[in-house]
Amino acid sequence: MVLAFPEMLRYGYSNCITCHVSPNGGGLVTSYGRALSQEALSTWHRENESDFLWGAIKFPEWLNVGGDIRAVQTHLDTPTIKTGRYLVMQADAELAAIQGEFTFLATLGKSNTSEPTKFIDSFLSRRHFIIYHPKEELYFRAGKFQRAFGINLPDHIVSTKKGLGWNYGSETYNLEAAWIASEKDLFITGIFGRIDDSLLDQEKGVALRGGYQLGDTYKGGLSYFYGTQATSSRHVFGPYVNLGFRKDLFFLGEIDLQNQRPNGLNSNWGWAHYGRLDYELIQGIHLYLAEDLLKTDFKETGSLTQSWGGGIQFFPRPHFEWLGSYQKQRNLRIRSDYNDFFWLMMHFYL
Amino acid sequence: MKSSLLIIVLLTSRFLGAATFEVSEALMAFTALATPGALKILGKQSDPKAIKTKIIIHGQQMSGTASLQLVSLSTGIDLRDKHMKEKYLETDKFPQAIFTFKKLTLPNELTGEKIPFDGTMNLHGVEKPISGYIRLEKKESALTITHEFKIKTGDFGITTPHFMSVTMGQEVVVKVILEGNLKGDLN
Repeated sequence: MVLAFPEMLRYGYSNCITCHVSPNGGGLVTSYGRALSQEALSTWHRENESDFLWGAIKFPEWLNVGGDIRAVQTHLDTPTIKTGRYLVMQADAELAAIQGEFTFLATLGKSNTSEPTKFIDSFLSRRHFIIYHPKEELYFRAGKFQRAFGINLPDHIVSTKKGLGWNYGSETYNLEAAWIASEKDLFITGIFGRIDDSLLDQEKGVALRGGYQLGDTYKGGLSYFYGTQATSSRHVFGPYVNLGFRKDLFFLGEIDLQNQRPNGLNSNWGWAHYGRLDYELIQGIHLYLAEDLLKTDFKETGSLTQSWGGGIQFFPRPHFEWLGSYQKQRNLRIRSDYNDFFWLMMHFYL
Repeated sequence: MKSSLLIIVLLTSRFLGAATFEVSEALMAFTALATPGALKILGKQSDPKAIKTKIIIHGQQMSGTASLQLVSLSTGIDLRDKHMKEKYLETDKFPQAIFTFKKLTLPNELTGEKIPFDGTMNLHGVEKPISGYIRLEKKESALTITHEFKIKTGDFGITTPHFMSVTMGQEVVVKVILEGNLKGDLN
């Protein structure tokens, strides 16, 4: 599964590696993660329903296979335009092979390139990496993946992800060291951009993220990123919190300050923040409120984009997820009043 | 000589009374760590009546037992609970855990300070000595007892819990909170 569920902290799951192959979460789940998805996420399930293809194919223990299809239908309503769009965001297969202290993982799926010139361009590997796990708490990873920064939110279009340039598809080649212990974790990532495609001027730099757990179901941390590319460099840093008040009530929040320095120009300060308060009505049905803000330059009024709203997220049975969201949003560069934005996300995982 | 004895009796008489602790609220919770990812498994008894106690405070000495119906334990995830009870604790064969306080000497004032204790735990059909800390806080006749101790599942013949890719550590931290009233005279 591509999505990460940091809110599972409310069940005591303070680190992603318990359920995901990736130390920073997201992507392929372990066999335990599959079992947990039916036990703690889904409204209904029968025994072993979350197994790969409902258990139709069994793999040896060293091999883990998954896949995701995600599509979204959007609707935007402004005083001047009403528009809708259907988009298959992702159709990927994912495979991991485990051999002793080493794990190799790769995805292969449909590229979102609109008019591929070569057949090979129709395909894309979003992530491929190798993990070396020499000690209980220590992980090293090399390959293409998303850096660890802030909360690994599944909603990648929010300001603290897409707004800061870390949308889905912005994975880079990195070297990562992760120390994941009881109540504490630290990720250090060296970022080398897109060494496979020199035409893509992806940032190179470093990212640090440290988290600390308070009590059994509360966690907070700090992140720092420094990146440079041909036209600019920037520092981004800020705190995040993951608060599991109860098993049916949690809050995820992140605030990041950004200092951007375009080459030859003065630097500017801005910020992004996101918050989501979520109530689980019954297991698998979530109602939530969310706010989202990005202001890339405090001195420039027009650099503000903002949204607030709510939604419902539904995990009816293992393999299926639906999310409907209604937001009031505005972009001051275009107009000052709020638009209505609705989107429905459908997710199926093998 | 007679006057010396009288002084000793007067000085110690406040420690000679006996009272029974009648529990109105009881909570047992436990925490265990599992790998990978330092997963915290949090459990507690789901039925408030699953804990039975018999605790007597006699002067400055406390003794008694507390038993727990293990079938009432819950970690919030049904499948995990099923494995815990059926496969590891084997509650069909060993339905209760019984904790026995050995005689414990209390301070003059019960203000909630930490007091070390020794006792025994009978779990999974195995009895082992255990030690830890206890706090007693008395306000008029109301008493709150909080005690915390660690056990190792292997000491009680419980196999290391393991499910899919996750393995639980052997150490389990147990916390018990008992609230109630003292019946009888402590002094």
